[in-house]
Amino acid sequence: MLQAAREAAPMPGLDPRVARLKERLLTAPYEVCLARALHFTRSYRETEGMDPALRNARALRRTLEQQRIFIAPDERIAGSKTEKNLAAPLSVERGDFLRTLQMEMDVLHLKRRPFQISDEERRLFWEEILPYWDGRTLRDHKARVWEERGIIETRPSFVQALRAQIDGLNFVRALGRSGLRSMLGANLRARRTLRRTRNLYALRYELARNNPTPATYVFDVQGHLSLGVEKAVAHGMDSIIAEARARMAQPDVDRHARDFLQAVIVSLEAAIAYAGRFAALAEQMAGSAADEAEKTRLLAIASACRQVPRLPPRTFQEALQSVWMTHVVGEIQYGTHEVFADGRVDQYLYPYLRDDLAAGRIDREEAIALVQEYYLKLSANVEPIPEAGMETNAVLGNSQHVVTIGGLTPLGEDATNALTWLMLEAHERMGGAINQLSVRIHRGSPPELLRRTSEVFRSANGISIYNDDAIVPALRADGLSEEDARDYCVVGCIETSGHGDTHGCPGGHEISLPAVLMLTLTRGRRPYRILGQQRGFDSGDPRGFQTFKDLMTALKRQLGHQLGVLIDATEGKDRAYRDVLPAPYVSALMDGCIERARDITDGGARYDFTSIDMRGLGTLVDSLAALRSFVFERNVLSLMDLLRALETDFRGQEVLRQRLIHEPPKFGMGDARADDLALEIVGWIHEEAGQHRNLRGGRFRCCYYSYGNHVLDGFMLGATPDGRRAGSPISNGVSPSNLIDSHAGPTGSMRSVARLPPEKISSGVSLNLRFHPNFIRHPSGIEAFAGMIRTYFDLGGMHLQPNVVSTETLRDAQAHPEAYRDLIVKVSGYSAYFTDLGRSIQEDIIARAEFGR
Amino acid sequence: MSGPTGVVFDVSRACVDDGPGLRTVVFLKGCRLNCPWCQNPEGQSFAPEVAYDRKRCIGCRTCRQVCQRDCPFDHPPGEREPCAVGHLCSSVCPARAKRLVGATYDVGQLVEEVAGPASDASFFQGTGGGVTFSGGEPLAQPEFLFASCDAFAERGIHRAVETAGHWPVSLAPELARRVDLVLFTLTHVDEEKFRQATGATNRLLLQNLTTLLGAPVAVSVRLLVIPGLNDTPADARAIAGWLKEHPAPPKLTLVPFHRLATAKAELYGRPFAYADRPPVGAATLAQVASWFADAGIAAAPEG
Repeated sequence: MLQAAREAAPMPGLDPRVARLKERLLTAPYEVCLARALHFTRSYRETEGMDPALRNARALRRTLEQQRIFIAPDERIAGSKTEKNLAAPLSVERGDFLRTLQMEMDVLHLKRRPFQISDEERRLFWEEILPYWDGRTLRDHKARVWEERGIIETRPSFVQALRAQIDGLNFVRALGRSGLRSMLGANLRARRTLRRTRNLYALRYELARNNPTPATYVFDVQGHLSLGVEKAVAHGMDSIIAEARARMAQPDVDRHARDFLQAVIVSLEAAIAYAGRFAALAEQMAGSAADEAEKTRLLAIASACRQVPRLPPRTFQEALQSVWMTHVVGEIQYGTHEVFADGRVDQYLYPYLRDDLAAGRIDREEAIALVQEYYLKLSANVEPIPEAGMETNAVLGNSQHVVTIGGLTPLGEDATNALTWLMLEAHERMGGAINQLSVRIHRGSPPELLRRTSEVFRSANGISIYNDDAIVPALRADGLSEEDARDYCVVGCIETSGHGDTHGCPGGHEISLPAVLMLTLTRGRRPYRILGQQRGFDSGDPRGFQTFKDLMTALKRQLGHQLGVLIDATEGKDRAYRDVLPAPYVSALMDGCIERARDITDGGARYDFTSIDMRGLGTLVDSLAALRSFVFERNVLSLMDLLRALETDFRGQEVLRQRLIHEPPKFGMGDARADDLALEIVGWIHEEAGQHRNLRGGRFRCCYYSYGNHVLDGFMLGATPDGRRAGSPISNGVSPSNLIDSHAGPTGSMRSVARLPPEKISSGVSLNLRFHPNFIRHPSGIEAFAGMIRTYFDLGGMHLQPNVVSTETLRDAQAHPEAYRDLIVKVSGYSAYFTDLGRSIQEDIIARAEFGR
Repeated sequence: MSGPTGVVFDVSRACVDDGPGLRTVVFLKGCRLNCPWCQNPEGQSFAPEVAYDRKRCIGCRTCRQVCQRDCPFDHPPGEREPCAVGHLCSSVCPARAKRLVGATYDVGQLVEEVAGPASDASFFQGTGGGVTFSGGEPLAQPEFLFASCDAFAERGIHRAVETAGHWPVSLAPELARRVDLVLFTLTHVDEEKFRQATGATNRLLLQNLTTLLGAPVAVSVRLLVIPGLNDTPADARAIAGWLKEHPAPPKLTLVPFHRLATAKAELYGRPFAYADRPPVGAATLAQVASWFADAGIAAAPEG
């Protein structure tokens, strides 16, 4: 009966104010804002020789004092990230996109999704910003450490340069005509041919700076953590400053520690002052407000920004203001790619909502609108992805600021509260926002929470669902206390982390498993179709593989080597962070840092990890299963014959390719013959990684997600023994490959993935399954959907991210992007606006099995 | 193999429209009706047959190396004779473009696939699901169906059967005893209308429905709403009138006619007979529901 009533009542509409905010976000032109880069440059120039933490704090303070601010129409929560409506700042000190921007500065306005930048900013970039940072960025430091360790050659010899040029040509050739157009189109349309040529070379050269080996990536990013927003909200920044001062007075504090604590204080005071600027602006705007409602809106902002984040909030609106101001200052401190999770928002904001509702200070609709505004703010970030990465990336919402709801309390009770439901409904009624909502479920969760979550998929994608009963014990095994493990939250895509107490470094240390297999099969020589000959590790001559076990032994040897290089390169990066780019503002909010008087980059956080992210598990397992069956068990053909077929991308061998696709068992269909191989690989990697410690003494954890890079990996990689063609995507996350037969059903994939032991994949996995909307069109289907997830969790599954969208809708969205601007999909871990994604990744999503037609 | 065997053309997992919860649907091959609206053309004939999906064909002609005879697929749809030589082509096709549809199972094999270690059995419990027999007409292979139902009953698995009711009346009490739910698809109670469309009488199915409605088994009556056959107020009145003759007239679930089988029929070289009938939308269903309401029978779209 309740059900029928819900069916009958149409979903209440979107608050007009929120509808306008959403429209503004989706139609805003993308811009680049160099204000932050300029203030950072000028500040760093003045602070040469100072402690790096203090330098960072001073640069932040200068930016927060001098960057122009604004309060947009309809906003009730203030706090702008840049001087422009929707703009990318430049984390110039990190340097990760500096070279890209340098290459593409002249063509930003020609990109598929153009970026605007003023001539004055362009001039400042070339004349003031860039010259200062040459050789001083974190990326430069990282490269120097890598060079010292022989991981890369920074200064190529003539022969190497020549080879790089040839690779560049191969690269261009391999792109094909359409790839060429989309990836380099902007460059080709640029007028200055000389710079264009140089850019192509530089691009090829830059790519290698992320790849210690052809199968591994170590990106410059650190970030990706649970920002201690709760601490700032609950206690107010004044109290954290007092804590830092008290710590400074203790006798064990040396000069370096004092500088760090001073940097903490400078950063927090700057954040408080930044809020003060918004209060002043709101008061000033209120003075000339057109009407009473406008005046009320502005005065509420003013009053909130006088109170928070300095002191604890008095109302729900002030609490959200405190969350956002704390968050946005974090974004400004970090620059780009920060990926800061605000954590368990429904838990720490609930008391404010409860009290406001009880006192009649707010009604439920108003609270929903405020939450929706907050979601939109989390989504409002853009990144001028290099044109070469456009195919596999989203521009809007590139930095995923995920919110976690539901789950257990630290004491082990059910944590679901009124705000949990409200935040779900806010997501549903907005038709999703790009930031992902992560819903935690445990055995004692009200069944309605999973049912309701399932129902939301009728109107909005973008939700991931997590199983506390698998994750909490896994985090315990990682060393978190029982209470901290129960209090976990989700970071970035799908990474599990302690709440405001963990420097987990889950992003940017990655291995393409299928590439490792191809290195094994080619003695380290030829895994890629376009980067040409690379130095590689010889793990044994494949002609000597008598049995499948021989192959597995060589694979593990190769994998062990790749892990070793990756860990070494990661340490180099971490060293560069510690020595030149601490994060005092983030550290101020992180449990443990003030107590230890150390920055997060120096082991200050209570828990410290580095995650290694494996991609293409499905493609690897399917390839191994095919090799085992065709070469070692049934002797269909020799290994050398198979390798020759792979080298030519199965030219003239389509029959063989089809047989490789259809005959051997595949991962993700509930078939133990394939799944056992996955267990073996996952277990072995976990054990091997567990032997090492990172620079800060933290453990290495394993995760399996691939955001969009499985498409890029696949693009570079030649054909694989599972019948995958050269250049097509490898499998994403722990999802089955796109070559599986959807006949085994979503339940087949769930049964396979649920067998992976959580403690060996504790940093997170992404299982991405696509369902036709018919699956949940009836209430009975929603019940079954929820029951299916419940069973998957009972079997031991950690995570699921469903996409409920039909192939027809996705095709129509490709043809008429303007009509589908707010269509959200999960890629592998992160959410994105579908029409904002590169074509290759759109095709990958369409190619995934579609269940429940 | 021991005990009764059956010909199965598909075992489909994680279905949500064929009974409560998550279902594994077992499609039994063969039906004695020949309804032009049939959505499972591969379920019509009893014998295994080859489906040929031209979109998957890579043109390798491996099939021609094992079979040199006059192939039915060389003839236009509608003029094809069944393969006379044992479907060799499907066993060698590397791309699975030609595939043999219809495999013989004994009860043990079916139980293994539906409820064994590598099955969805764990999902039945969590969702209140189970196994559903569909077709074809599952009651056209009664021995195998009943033996399978008994085997699933032993394991405590919920059993549903989808049927059009055209089978010997002696089977109805047997069926009622063995399953938890009967999903009965009705199209018309008017014998002449039914005969015009299908060439068969509907007397058997009406009698069987009557028996089942009086038996201790849950019966869900689904009316397949087909344009030109049963979508007028008079049709609704006639059907409602017949239903009301029963002591406890059932509620009707309205299922819209659609043409999704058009592409599938092509794989078997049989054109879909109702390819040009318009699909039925939500508005028509609501209209039909209101006529039934006027006639005193509760009817609602599925869901």
